[in-house]
Amino acid sequence: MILSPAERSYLYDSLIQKPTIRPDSRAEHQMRPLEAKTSFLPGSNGSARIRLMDGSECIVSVKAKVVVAAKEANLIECDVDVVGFRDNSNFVSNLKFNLTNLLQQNFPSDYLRLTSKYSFKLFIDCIVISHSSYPLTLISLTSYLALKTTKLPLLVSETNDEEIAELPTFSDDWDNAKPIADYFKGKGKEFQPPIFITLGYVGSNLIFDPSVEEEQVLENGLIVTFYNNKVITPIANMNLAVNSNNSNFKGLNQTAIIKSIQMGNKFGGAIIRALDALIEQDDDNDAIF
Amino acid sequence: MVQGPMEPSLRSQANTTEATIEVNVNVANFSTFERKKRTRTEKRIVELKATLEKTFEQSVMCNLYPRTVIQVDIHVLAQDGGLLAGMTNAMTLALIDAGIAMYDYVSSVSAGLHDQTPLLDLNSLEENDMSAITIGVVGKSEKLALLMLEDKMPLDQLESVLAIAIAGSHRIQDLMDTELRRQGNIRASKMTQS
Amino acid sequence: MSERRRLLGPANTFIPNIGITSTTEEAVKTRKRDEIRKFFLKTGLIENANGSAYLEADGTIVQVLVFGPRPIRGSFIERASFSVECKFLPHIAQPNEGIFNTGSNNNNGNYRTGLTNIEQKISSYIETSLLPSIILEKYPKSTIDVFITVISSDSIEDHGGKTTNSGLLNLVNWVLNCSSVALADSGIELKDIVSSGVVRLDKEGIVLDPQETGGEGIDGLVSFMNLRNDEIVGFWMEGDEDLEEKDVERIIDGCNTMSKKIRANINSYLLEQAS
Repeated sequence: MILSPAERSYLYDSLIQKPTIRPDSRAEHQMRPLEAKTSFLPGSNGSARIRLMDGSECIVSVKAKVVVAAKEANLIECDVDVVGFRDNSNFVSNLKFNLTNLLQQNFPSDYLRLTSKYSFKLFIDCIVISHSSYPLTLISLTSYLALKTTKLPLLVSETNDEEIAELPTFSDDWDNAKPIADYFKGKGKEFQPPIFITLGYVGSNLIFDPSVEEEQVLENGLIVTFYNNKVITPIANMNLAVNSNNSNFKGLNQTAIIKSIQMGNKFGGAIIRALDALIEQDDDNDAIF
Repeated sequence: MVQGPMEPSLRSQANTTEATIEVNVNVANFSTFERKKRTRTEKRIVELKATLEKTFEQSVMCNLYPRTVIQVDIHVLAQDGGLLAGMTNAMTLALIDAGIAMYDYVSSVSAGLHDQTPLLDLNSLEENDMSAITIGVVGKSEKLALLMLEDKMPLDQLESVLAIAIAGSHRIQDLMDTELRRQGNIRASKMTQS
Repeated sequence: MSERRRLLGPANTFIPNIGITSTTEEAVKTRKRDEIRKFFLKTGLIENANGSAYLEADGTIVQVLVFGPRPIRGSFIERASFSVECKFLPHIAQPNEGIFNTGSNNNNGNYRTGLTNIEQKISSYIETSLLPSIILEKYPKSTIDVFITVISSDSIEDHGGKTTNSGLLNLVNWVLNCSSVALADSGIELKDIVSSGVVRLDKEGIVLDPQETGGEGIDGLVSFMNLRNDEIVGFWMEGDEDLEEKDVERIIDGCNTMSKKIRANINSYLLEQAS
């Protein structure tokens, strides 16, 4: 999407106002409205779909597999597929790197251990069916929902298999399957997958979840991670409007970064609460569209 | 997802007399029981894509949209047999939803032959075990827009398999029709309200 | 009579000392916490490129080529387009490649096409950081391309069984500094030379240019335009500990200190070149 110089300058001027004026009249910390559906793929352990009001849509599936823990470098593997982009394009690779890094650093994968030898390995596949703004937040929110609703079958064999060489066996009844969250409860920790929040920096304002028009005039973009009710690493900056030749792009200052963390701490919890509420409201009717 | 009719990205793609239909098939890694990475250039997928394009060139009124491309993206999220049939039906519905003029429905179903008994709509286990055909029927006629047989089937049995498949396709067409009308009514009532 | 069945070398052979390194270099490196390692920098090595730079810092060796401004074909654009491509030599182990480069179909055995996820990430970071410094308006209808080659990398990735990205950040730091020198060498008009610093915040405080630190902590890589009011053009933090706002401030300050030291070195080198 290319804005004319006049549109660009109008949008920029309204965004740098104090308080900022956004074209869709959102507050600076407001996300775009979204619609979600969870657990609709019969062949996956967990799945979720989010649609934004601008037509962006993302589907995430979580599949678990039993592996020999010692042979695997990592117990979580992510794959991102964006329609219209090659798998090894810079855009897709970056999304994939960010998501892998996020879950690698902040997902307590020890809890996926089944027995002393075997473990679950989670394959997280994301398909971005359509998008207009930078889809990282969309992907991370969808994978949050998918992970949160992932169910793993109930282990019926012994947990200690150091002496006996047998494969772990599971309860045949899918109704006995437990959500991932239950695996964590026993270990005294609330299960909350990490999420990314994208922030746009313009003037001295920071805006949450910039839309595609806003991205065109941003001075810089920040990606902040939110986990266990606070902002943590990885945090990075990047040009959100890819290949846009955005003439406003410039550096940040220290206060902006600090402010982004403060804002993340302040409003991140609300995002998580909203997502959790979404899962609870999600009714079990079969129509997914 | 249907995009278009729109201007083609390359001038050379344009056909001056009718629209070009372009199908992109995307089979998700997680769609089958065992997770497996598939590339878009895999032979099977390329074949499916070509089959769908050929099928719909006949049924869409391409001559109404000269110099345009109708791009259809198909995502397979889960599969358990009848892949081609499912994609055909979904594509018919999507094209109708997009308001693209078509002569009639293309409804499709797969059928197989076990010993002497013809079976309708095989799942993937059955599909691996017996010879199966997939057909696409235009409207309520007995005209076939699509017939795909990937292995052998005795000629004398073909008749009965085709009969059950055509009957199945007609049934599917009824189902699609009811659903479309229901959706249409919902939309119409929304429009009158606002 | 000499043996005829085997192929023998000539009688006066000289066997090179492959695999034997001199032990003098193995002196234990003891740097102070606020000391950065010495690095070697040279520009203009490649004649064909518009600008080039070569940087060595211990085991990390990076070479950057800048091509441009080159004219583009096709439609008119008002500002130059800028692209960065970072590649590791094929035999170099990339930091944490076991984690990030999985499942990609461009790694078929011995050869590969396209960039890996890690290379793409580094490319984007460098692009984001350098973009604000270049006066793209001066070069309409043209393109500026930066090609980075990582010739050697000594980054450590495993801290006692726990994977961190500290090695990656350290490498990117040197890549960035080298790239901005190459840009300066190319004569393309810049607002300022971008320089960066990398620090680790652990229990005892800030470590500049961390190399063999282990255990927990937060790593930060921040890139600045030091002459333009210390404007931050690149920012990347990794780590797994609790993150406080004041920690972030300390990390940014630490990076700034290091960035200024590197900038001073670059400045004196460039002045020497000019005279």
